[in-house]
Amino acid sequence: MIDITDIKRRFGGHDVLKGVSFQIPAGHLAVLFGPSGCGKTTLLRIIAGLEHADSGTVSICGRKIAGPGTRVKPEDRKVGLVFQDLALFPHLTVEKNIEFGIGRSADRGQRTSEMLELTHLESLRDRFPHELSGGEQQRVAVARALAPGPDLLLLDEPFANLDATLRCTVRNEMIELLGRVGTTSIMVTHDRSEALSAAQTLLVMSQGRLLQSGAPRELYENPEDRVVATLLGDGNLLNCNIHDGKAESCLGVVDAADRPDGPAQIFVRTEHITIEMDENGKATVIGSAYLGHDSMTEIRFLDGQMIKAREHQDFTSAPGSIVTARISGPCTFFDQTGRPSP
Amino acid sequence: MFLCLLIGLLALTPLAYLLIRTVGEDGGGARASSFLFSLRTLEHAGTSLGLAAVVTTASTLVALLLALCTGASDLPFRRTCTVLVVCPLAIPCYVGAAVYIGTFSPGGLLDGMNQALGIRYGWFSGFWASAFVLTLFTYPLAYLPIRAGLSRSDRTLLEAARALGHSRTGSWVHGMLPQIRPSLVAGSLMVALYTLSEFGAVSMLRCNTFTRVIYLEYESAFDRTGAALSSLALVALIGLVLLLGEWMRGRNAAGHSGRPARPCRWRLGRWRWVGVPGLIVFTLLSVGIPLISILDWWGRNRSAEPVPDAILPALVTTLSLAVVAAVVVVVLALPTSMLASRHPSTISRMIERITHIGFGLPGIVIGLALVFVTLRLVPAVYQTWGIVIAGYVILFLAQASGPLRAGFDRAPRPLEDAARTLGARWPRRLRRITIPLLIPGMSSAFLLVFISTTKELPNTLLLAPAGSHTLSTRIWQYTEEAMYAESALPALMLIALSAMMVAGLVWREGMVEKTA
Repeated sequence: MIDITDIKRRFGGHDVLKGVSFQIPAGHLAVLFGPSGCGKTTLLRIIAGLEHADSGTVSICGRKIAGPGTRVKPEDRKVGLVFQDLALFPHLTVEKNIEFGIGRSADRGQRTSEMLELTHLESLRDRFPHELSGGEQQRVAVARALAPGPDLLLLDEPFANLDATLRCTVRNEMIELLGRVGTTSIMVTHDRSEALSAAQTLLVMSQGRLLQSGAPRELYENPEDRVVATLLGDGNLLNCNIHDGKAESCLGVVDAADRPDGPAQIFVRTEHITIEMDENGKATVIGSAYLGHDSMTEIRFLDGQMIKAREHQDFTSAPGSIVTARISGPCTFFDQTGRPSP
Repeated sequence: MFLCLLIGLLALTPLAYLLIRTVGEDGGGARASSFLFSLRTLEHAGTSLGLAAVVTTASTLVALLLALCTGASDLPFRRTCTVLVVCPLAIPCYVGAAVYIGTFSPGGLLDGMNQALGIRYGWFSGFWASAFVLTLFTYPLAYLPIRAGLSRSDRTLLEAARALGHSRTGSWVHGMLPQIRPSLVAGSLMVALYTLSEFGAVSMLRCNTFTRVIYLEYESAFDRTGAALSSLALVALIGLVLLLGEWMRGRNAAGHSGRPARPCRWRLGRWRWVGVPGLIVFTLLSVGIPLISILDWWGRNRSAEPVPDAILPALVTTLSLAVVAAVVVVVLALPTSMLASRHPSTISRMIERITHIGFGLPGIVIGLALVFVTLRLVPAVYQTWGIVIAGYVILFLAQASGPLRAGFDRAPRPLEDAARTLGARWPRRLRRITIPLLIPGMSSAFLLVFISTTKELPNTLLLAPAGSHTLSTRIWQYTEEAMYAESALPALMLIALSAMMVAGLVWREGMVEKTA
């Protein structure tokens, strides 16, 4: 169990972390997701001990490693870190890189071989890092970090330097590997699909705050915050009016039971909107982009409201067509400030 | 940080002192202005600038032609030719000058030519002789950057110029020259600065540039303020040339597209087979004649005195001095290079720049300044080896900091952080990560300073304890006294040392490139 409590950090007059708290169950793969510059890498480095928090505590399995009066050195934390640029030792072979973190013990060689086998690197053990492909370097970095048997593994944008085609394969391999080893891990990423697909626990950060955490599906479908909603996927934020448990917007009337009357905002994902040809419709098609597996259509209502909708690939509509649009899936309500209505 | 600032300031002291000394003296200001505008000063300035201009133009043209031939043409045996072309790098200019003087003097290798043509002795001296010798031995300074620039150049631009309707020659002028312009400017700037600072060759060849005049004024010992004023004037000239270089580089420097370029190829056609003999003749001039001449003198002298007592101690002194200086310089350059690599900021850049000032200053000026400083402030160290080494430190700090910085760049902070998260404490991090990664840079820096120190003349000449000698001062002394036969052995030793070290450096760089 990883316990992070109220971590704050200030850098040159700028609050990078404004009090972040969360817990991760043992053995979970948690993903720290947020836009660039939201403080997620700083948080990772604080957990690793390479930077210090101004306040707050970090404990791993009940062992406090950072907090008031405690500051365990990085080398004593048993926290592994996979760096964004991997930071492989250029003058050491694959084998020596992996061996580096294993203490001088009788089973050192055996442990190294185990890691080489686990990451399918046996045949590359005598190569130098610069003689490896991007994906292989990636595996060496993870094997090296896992070799000492850390209590917690941190991965800082580990796939950022791989090209798109390689990225997906390497990522799946890695997630599968981490699942097999069962080490509690925190991975930082700003890639939306990576976050949603990899995480067992998803932590969404923005501007130094943790906005929401939980299972990826839970966050995607029930975002507690407008920012979380838009960070995790495309959607439309519309004004609506709630009256007697019914919400009325340009997309028609939907059920809004238990919500107070008055103006509010409704968030609908692009895939939860259905567009139909209708000569009496109130919207015009602006344009439609064919994306292969589906298409993205943009329409404009008479009152000027623009809506984006993801449609089935065989949906085609010429710009200027008159259409209607309705909500065909779940939606989320927020009050005017962007927080969810009670 | 504080340490770095201290090292930087130490490097600046002599120059500052020189300034205070000349301007601060009674009536110094008036003397300075009357000096500055005197006819003599203008004459020396003219000679210095003229020599720099002639040598720079000639060297750059030679270097450009050679670089095109060996680097971007279909000349046969290009690899061998490249090695031949950089050979003069192992021969210090003053050694070259000494050898050429010896070659044309009575009993020299080409003495027969004098007699056959009925030329009087001593014709090989003055401005044009200096220009000839300096060009012959400084063009590699321009050749190396131009060659590097050529290998980075992109044939696409050349083809684009052809496609836009330029002729074959025109496409080289418009598609090629702009690409190598930055390296061309850098190379010629190196030659110009070297020529302005050069002391040994111009003095032996009696060409009255500032460096020679400074030494003569210092030796005459009546009025050393004159020497100080000349030094300042020379420093000002160097500053002027630097500014000129900056200005030329600043305009229209061709950018790099970053993607791997296809280097240009110059088809020589039927000139292909003329190129090789041409190169051989040229190499004969720059390396062949000097070497044969030295061996000739040495061979005749050997029978007279098998093991000259004067040379062995000079060799030992040179070697031990170079080792000590290289160690001291590398150690002192460590903190500033680490600061520049690990904490890049305006301040660290400024400190780095300060330590580089010494590199631009002539050895004779630094030597003179150190004479003043020690005599005035700490007479106890005057004419000790310690002060000689201090001079080397100021001169060569910049040389060491380049490779050292590259070394620190190879061992960046994240690698140490990675080692920390893997449980390594600092002694282990230092032993397993930082030091192994730093060693190539450190040994390159060591070798560079070592070579430079063995070859250095003016600083050693001015500061070395009376009666003691290095190989370089021996060569100087023998040539001044027209003892060419005696100067052969130290010259040979110096060339051999330099050649060995240059080879070592090249080999070392090759190794670094392989693992980088």
